[in-house]
Amino acid sequence: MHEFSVAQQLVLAASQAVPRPELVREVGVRVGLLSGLVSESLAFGFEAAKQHSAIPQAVLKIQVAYRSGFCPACNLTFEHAHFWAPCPKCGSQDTQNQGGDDVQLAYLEVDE
Amino acid sequence: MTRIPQNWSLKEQNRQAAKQQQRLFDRAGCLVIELLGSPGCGKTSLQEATLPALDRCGVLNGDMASDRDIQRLKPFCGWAIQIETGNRCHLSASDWGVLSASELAMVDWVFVENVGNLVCPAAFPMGAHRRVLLVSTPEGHDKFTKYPTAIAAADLVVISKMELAPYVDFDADFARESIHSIKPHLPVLELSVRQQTGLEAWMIWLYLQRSKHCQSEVVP
Repeated sequence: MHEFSVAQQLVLAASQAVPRPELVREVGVRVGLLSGLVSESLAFGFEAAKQHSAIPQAVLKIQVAYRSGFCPACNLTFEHAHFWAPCPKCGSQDTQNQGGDDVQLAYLEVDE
Repeated sequence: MTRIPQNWSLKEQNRQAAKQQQRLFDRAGCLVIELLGSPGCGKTSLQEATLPALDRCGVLNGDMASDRDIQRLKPFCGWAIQIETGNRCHLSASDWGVLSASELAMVDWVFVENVGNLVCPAAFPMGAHRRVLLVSTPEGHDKFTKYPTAIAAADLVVISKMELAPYVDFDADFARESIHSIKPHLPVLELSVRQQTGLEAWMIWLYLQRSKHCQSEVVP
């Protein structure tokens, strides 16, 4: 619902991350499945937000991020797409779950 | 081409803004409770039932338009401020800019009523110490699984308008099960402002948060 404002924040963050932002060719972003953001809308917003910015040449690359669950009993780490999930091996409900709910600027590809 | 790793995070940005705000609250010694929920779930009615029983309260209210809620709540608190968000679907930490340090110093409790919406407000923490999700029985016992982000963000779920439960086939056990399938152990309170039931438990929860906060969470 608010993808455009997030796209604007990403453009600003990418523009401020390097001394010569006009050389940025690719902006790598990890979008969590539970971030509440739609990747297609974010990509659309990014195209609009980069116009008249310091990184007009940049292309957005989105990688989807899952949530990570951990079962202490099995010492098992597993990926899933819910806020909370039981252990897929023993069914225990006593799992720790984190990640997959954020939008992160992962990398910038910059021309030499 | 050179790849330069980055570590900017949206969540971290929001968290920092919220934390900075929370420090101001802690310095002023007030506990901030945020109410989330869809339009008409009873956020303002719950405050009308709560504020008269508490001393030194302030209210910040977000709505797309009108100051209707503030007019209702003004008689019960030290200050009541309306933020008309226009086209924005949620309040954010920067909205606290309307408050002065002296206004914060006047109160022990601040209630923030976010824009009626189960989607966006959940993703934008404002720095409240506790976030309370309200869902009213006519919205349906299956509403929780449909809006998991709101549950994940909440410290308490209040099921309001319990007096209507029999008329709208609200299954409270089903509701609790769905809430706990998203966030196990999340406390759930059932209440009716109209029939004045369940309000003691709500007040106890509030005072419990206050004492917990005073004991351990104050950031210097």
